[in-house]
Parts: sequence; C-alpha cells; structure tokens
Amino acid sequence: MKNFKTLLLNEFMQQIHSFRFVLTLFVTFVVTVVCVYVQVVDFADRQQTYQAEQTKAIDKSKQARIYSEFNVPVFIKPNPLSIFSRGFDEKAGNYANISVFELPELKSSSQKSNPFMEILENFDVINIVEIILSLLALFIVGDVISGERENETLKLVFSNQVSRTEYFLAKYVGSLITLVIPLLMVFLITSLFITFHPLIMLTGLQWLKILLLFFSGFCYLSVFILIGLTISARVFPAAKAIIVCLVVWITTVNIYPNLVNYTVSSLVKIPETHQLTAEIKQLNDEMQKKIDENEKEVPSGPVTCSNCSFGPITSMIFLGNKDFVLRAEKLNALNLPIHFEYQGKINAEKKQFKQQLFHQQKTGSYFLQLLPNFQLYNGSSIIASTDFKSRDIVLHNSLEIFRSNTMDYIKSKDGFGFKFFTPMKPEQLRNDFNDYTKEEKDLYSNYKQPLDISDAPQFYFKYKLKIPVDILFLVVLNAIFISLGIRIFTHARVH
Amino acid sequence: MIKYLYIKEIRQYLYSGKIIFATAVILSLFIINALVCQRNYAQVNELYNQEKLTNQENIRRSCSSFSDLVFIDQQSVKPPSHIAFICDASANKLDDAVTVNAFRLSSLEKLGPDNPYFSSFTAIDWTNIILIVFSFLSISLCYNAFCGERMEGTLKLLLSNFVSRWKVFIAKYLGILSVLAIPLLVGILIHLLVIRIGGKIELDLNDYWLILLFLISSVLFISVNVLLFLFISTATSRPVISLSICLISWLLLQVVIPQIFWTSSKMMIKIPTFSQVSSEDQKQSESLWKSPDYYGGWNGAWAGKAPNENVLKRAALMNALDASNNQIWGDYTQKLFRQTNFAINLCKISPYSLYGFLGATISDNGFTGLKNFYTQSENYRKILYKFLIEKDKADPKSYHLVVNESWSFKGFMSNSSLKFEEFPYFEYKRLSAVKAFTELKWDIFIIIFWSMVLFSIGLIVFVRSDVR
Repeated sequence: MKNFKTLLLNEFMQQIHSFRFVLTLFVTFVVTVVCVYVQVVDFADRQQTYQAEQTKAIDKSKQARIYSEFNVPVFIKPNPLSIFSRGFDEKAGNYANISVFELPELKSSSQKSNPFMEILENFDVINIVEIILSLLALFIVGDVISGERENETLKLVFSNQVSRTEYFLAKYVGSLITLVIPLLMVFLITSLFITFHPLIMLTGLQWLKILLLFFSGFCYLSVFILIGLTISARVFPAAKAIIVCLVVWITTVNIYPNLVNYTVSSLVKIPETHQLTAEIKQLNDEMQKKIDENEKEVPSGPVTCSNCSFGPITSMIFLGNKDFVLRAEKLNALNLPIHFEYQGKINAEKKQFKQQLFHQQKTGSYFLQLLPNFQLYNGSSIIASTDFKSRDIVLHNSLEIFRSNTMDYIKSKDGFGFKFFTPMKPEQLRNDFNDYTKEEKDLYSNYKQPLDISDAPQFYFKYKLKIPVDILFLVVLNAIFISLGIRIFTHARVH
Repeated sequence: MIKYLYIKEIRQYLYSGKIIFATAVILSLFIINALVCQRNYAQVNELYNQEKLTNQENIRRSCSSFSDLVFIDQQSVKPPSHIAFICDASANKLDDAVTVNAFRLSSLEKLGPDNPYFSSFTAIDWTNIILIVFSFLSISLCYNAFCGERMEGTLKLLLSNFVSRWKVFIAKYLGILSVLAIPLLVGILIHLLVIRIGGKIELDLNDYWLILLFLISSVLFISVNVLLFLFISTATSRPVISLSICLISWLLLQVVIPQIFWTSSKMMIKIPTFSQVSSEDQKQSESLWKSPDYYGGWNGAWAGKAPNENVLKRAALMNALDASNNQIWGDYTQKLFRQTNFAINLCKISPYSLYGFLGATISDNGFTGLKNFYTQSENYRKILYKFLIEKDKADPKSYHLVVNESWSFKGFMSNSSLKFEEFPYFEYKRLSAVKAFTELKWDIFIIIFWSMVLFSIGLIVFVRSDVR
C-alpha cells in the first residue's frame, strides 16, 4: 500500500478539477437551494398553523362545563427533520381529540397545503441524495477505470509496483472524498436554512439525528460509487461502462421499485373504506339495541328541560325536572359501560383494517429489501422519526394509553355520574320544572362556569433515537461491493 | 442515397444487442401494465357502479316526496378512465368524489382504494415507459451516432463519397426514430391485444382516437429526444463527453427543471391555508346570523302555516349562508386550481414535463381530469337546483321556500311526488378526442417547435463541423 496516498491524491485532484465535478456541484447547489428553501418555508407555515390551532383548541377545551364536554386536544408538533426525510409525516394525521365520545385517532387538521400539488412530490434532502447524487456519482465514476484503460494509462500504472487492490481502493476513496463534497454541501445548506429560520429550533438529539442522516447518505453514495467502479472495472469502452451504469441506476432507482409497488398495489387487495364504515354501523346498531333495552327497563316520566341534549348517552341537561334528571343518571350508569365496550370493538375493527393496509405495505417492502435506495429511504425516515411506525403505530398506542388515563381521571372526579351531564347538584333538583326560580333558570340556561381541570393529565410524547437496521444493510452492501469490485478488477484486463 | 443510408442505419441498430434487450424490457413493461391496469380498472369501476346504484336507489326511494328529494346528498364519483393505461397521473393518490346536493357542493374527497401507509410510486404506464425507457434508449442510440463515427474515421470515409451532410443527418435521424418506433408500436399493439383478450376494459371509437393522438404525440416526443441527443453528438468530439452531456441534459430536463419550477411555483402563487378559509367561512356565517337583514329565530308554531315575515327572513338567511359558503369554498378551490395550473404551465418549459402532462390530459386523469370532474359536478349542482325550483314553482300548494334547512322548511315547499325518470342524474362526460386535441394543440405545437429548433441546430452544427 505504499503508493496508495499518491494514487488517492492523484484521483482526488483529477476529479475535483474535472468539468463534471463542477457541473455536479452546480446542479446539486441549485436543486438543494430551491427545494430546501421551499421545504423550510412550508414547514414554518405548518408550525405557525400548528401553534394557532393548538392555542385555539386548548382555550376551547378549558371552557368545558360538564365532564361530557371535557376533552384534551392533542396536536402533534411538526417534525423539523421532515425537511430531511418527509417519510410519512405529512400523510399521517396530526391531531387527536381525547374525550368520552371520540376514539384516539389521528386526524389531519388544516396544516395541509394544496392537495393537487402532490401530483409531483417535492424533493426532501434524502430525495436529492437518493436520486440526483446517486446518478451524479455513477456519472463521475462510470469511466474512472475503463477511461484509463481506454487511454492506455492503466497499463502504464501497472508497469510500476502498484497492486490492483491498492489501485481500486485509491480510486474508491478518491471518488468517495470527491462526492462527499456535494453531499456535505446539501446538508450544510439545509442546516443553514434551518439555523437561521426564526421559527425552527433544533434540539441536541435532532442534530445528532442529522449526523446519522448524513452517515446514511454517505453509505448510500459509497454503494453507488462501488457499483460504478465495479462496472468500470469490467466493461470496456468507457462510454459503454457509463451506459451500463445508467441501466443499473434507472432499474434500481426507478423501474424496479415502481414496478414492484405498482404490481403489489394491484395484486394485494386492501379492504375498501365503505366496508369498514358498514361494520362500524353494524356495531353502532347493536349498541343502540342494547341501549334501547335499557331505556325500556328504566321507567320514564314527564320531560321538561332547558339547555339539554340526549342521544344514546345523555350528555347535557343544564336544567330539568327531578325525575327526568335522575332517570338520565340511571341510564348513563347502564349505557356508558356499553358505550365503552362498543368503542373498544370499533377500535379493534379499525386496527384490523389498518393491519390489512400494513400487509400491502409490508409485501411491497419484502421485494425491495435489497435495494440501497429503499434502505436509505426507510432508514432515514426511521432516524427522522417520520416512518409510519413512529408516526402512526407508536403514537396511536400512546394516545390509547393517554385516553385510558384521561377516563380514569374523569372517574376519579366522579365525572361519569351527575357531573357528566349537568352542573346541578342532586339536592338542587325540583320535582317540577316550574318550581325552579327565575335566577336558577337564568343561571343554568346561560351557564358558563368551567370545570376545574388544572390537574387533568397532559399528553407527552417524545420521539426516541432509533438506529435502523437499514444502515447496517448499507454498510454490508458496501463491504460486498468492495470485495466484488476488487475481485472483478483483479481478474480484469488492463489493456 | 438517403434511402440507402436510412436502411443501413436501421440494420445497424436492429441487430445490436441493446435494441434487443431494450425491446424485451419495453414489451414486458407494456404487458405488465396491460395486466395491472385491467385489474385496477375493474376494481375502481365496481366501486363506481356501486356508488351510482346507491345514489339511484336513494333517489328512487325519495321520489314520492319532493321535500325529501331536495335534501338528498349524492356521492358523485369520477368514473375510472378507460385509457388510464396511457397515464395514471397519480390517480390512486388524488381525490375522486364530491358530495353534492341542490344547495352545496363539498370539497373533493377520496373514495377509491387508498393506502396511506403504502409508499407512493410512479405507475408503469405508457407515458412513463416512454418518458423513462425510451429517453434512455434514445441516449444510448444517439450519443455516439456522429462523434463515434468521427472518432472511428467512418464519417470521413462516408463523406468522401458524394453524399451531402444533410442527407447523412436526416438518414441518421429517421433511422434511429424508426428503430425506436418499432418497440413502441409493437408494445402498444400487444397491450391493446391483451386488453381485448382480458375483456375488462371496453374501448370505444373515441378511445382509439385518443390513443392515436397519444401515439402521434409520443412519436413527436421521441423525435425531440433523438434530435437533442444527435445534436449533442454532432457538437462533441468524444463519445464519453457526448454521453456525459446527454446524461446531464436528461437529468436537467427530466428531474431538475420540473422539480425546481414545480416547487418554486408554490412560492410564486400564494394561496390561503385551509384553516384561514375555515375561519373566514365561520366569520362570514356569524356576521350573517347577526345581520339585521335576516332573522335567525324559529318558532315551532310557524310550521304548516303560510310563511310570515320572520320565516321569509330566516329563509333568506339560510340562502345567504349557502351562497356565502359556496362562494368562499368555490373561490378556494379555484385558487388551488390556479396554483396547480400555474405550476403545470411553468413545468412545460421542459418537453419531458410537457409530455407527462399531455399524457395525463389525454387519459383524462390527474389534475386535468379532476378539474373537469369538479367543474361538471359544480354545473350539475346548478342544474339540479334549477330543476327543483322549477318543479316547486309548478306546485300551487307550495309556499315556494326551497331552503337548505330540512327540519324547518319541509312544510314550506312542494310535497308532491316526482317521476324517477325526470330527475337529472350526474353523468360524467368523458373527454372527447376533439376536445383533447383542442386543449392540447399548443402543447403539440411546442413539441413540434422543439423538434424543428433541435433539427435545425443539429443540422447546422453538423454541416459546419469538422469530420476529421
């Protein structure tokens, strides 16, 4: 390895002085500046909308007067790492309302921009690395060895005491250092945009994740450099080597993944939403039947009330005659457990529906496991916590636990009894509606006194740092291609 | 002589390994597309027919009472395109339905199968096969067409005979174009044959005209590719340099320029957020409720009697609320359309994007198809409203208050029955070949213009170049 340094320096200097490298830098710079600028502005818009909506929803939730009105709005803060790897972040919902009547589901609030503009996906940082830098890597290294063979300089090099392994490694490291420059530029430009934006603040953990994202991009580019060098070592002349590189790139990055997803989307059927709607309707009808039976069991009397609302569960009687209010309490005591039981069943149906959707996603990914671009995409979204597991499954589980805690809290406050639907105390009830004084009628028809919910549980969720196995795959791919490249080059002709 | 050169070019390429390999890949992709698109079409069409039947059933049931019919919500669904195989244009990602009644039209919504957990992909449709595979094939055939021959010295030999340069250029151009047209035509024919055998998609005459229009546009697009890469080959001295420039040009035109223009158009045309529009709608609604011109109260005793002044004022309030809602959300949708249109037009600077959007328009998919569908749904709502008002006017027993509040105004409008056949249905009008041509004439003109410019530049550069 005594000539390694000389070969490496020679390769590096040759590459950075080439027109192709300047062109690569220029293209990367323009694409990065435009795409990242728009991503950052988009993110800032989402952040502002998130803050405005969260404040509005929290203010509204503080006005709950009875426990049926009690709710905890949960907004998922936009993730700044989605600028690097969008993943599933924008597709997943960002808002859930935790209350007695709603399931803890993530819905999309209004942070979404023009849906028609999704026809063409905007590039995030990882897309720039995945598509543009990988092509430019092949473009730069495609003729590195075959070009020297064509110019007959390879013969001259090996007339000295240079081993083929040493030569191949020098070419590889030289090209890698050259291509790290545009990669570094992409990450630096993005980091600068983020740092100088007043609305975006990154934590230490997020900076660490950005470093990991950089490492994934580095491993990915390295795989493509090795693919290019291996082809260049085997194929002659240089132009033919670049053509083969092109075929490999277009198959790996475009045709094969799209073909797999296109075919899987058609062959692996997913259930239709209206099937789920029909099943939910059936469960609701079943629940209604049980509630109707309870209604029959509890005798009813005259109904006079003001500011009241009743459905399967009586949710609001601000003023009513005693028998009516007491009957509502009895019925709620019978119906609320049924309501929770059926909510559980509906939740299970929805989970099963989701499982079938995941099945399609998993089937597609089985066929893409070995592709470096799939590993980069998957690994980056896991690092950035924008993958569907972090954004949907984990978050949904946390919301379920939080809802259960919230229901326990209501229970601890005796919120499923009288306080669930009325601010009145049992002793204040009158047998006849007309027995209420004018002051009482005025007070309860415009009742505004909010509940004291200062000790209510708060939702807390933090994305953890995960090191995806996909990065390990990329490292293994690198090792495989280094061995393969050296082996092929050792057996290749130099003239 | 030109004929001889042309035949020589075709023979040279036809026997090359890369053409045989590429043809095999292209034919496989066409066959896969034919099989997958039939399945997709059958699945979406079934859903569409189900929705159509449900709508008709609801209408049939409500025909006995006019006042029930007025408040029926219909789910209008965009039928799947017969020729979605030309260009899927993210049809699986985009919305495909609206809920419509006589008074309001909902925002666009998604009804067809959609899996948000599945990574988005580009369908392997005709447009994408041509955009990706054919453009790469053009590069591999053209990059050394002139510079390769120049380097090997065969160009010098050829021109030492009495052959004019323009003849050589035209023969090369036509030769490569013909070689590329063979897998295209064979692929399309096999695709149509598979569809015919499958029997799930029935193509009519209009569809065949649209396919022909697409075919002509595709040949023109391939011609732009060939001329661009031939021009690069004439202007460069070594095949490696020519190939590098071809590759960079492809990357710029196919990926970089569309991405930059598409992304930056978001910044050039700003639209309000959904949240801002919702707030505006809410504010407008609150101000109407408080307006002294209207009356928001209701007394149960008014039901069934001739409408008094307060009822009329409440009816006016409801109408004003509808008008305001339709105005605000209609304007918002138009703004979304304008931003998208602007982005599309900007991207058409690149012939690659232009061709992609051309494919989407011909197959009546993507943004253009969705915009057509929304416009037709909007018109249908107006027709339906007009029809119901006229029917109500014809009933002497009605107080003629067809107002969007079912619990209070049912008694103030006609209650007679209606013939099911009379009711106007929503039928999506598919894009006709004539309309498609009218919409696309400028796009086709631009492709022809690109061809002519590249042809002229390529020819001039070749005529003036040194063949040694």
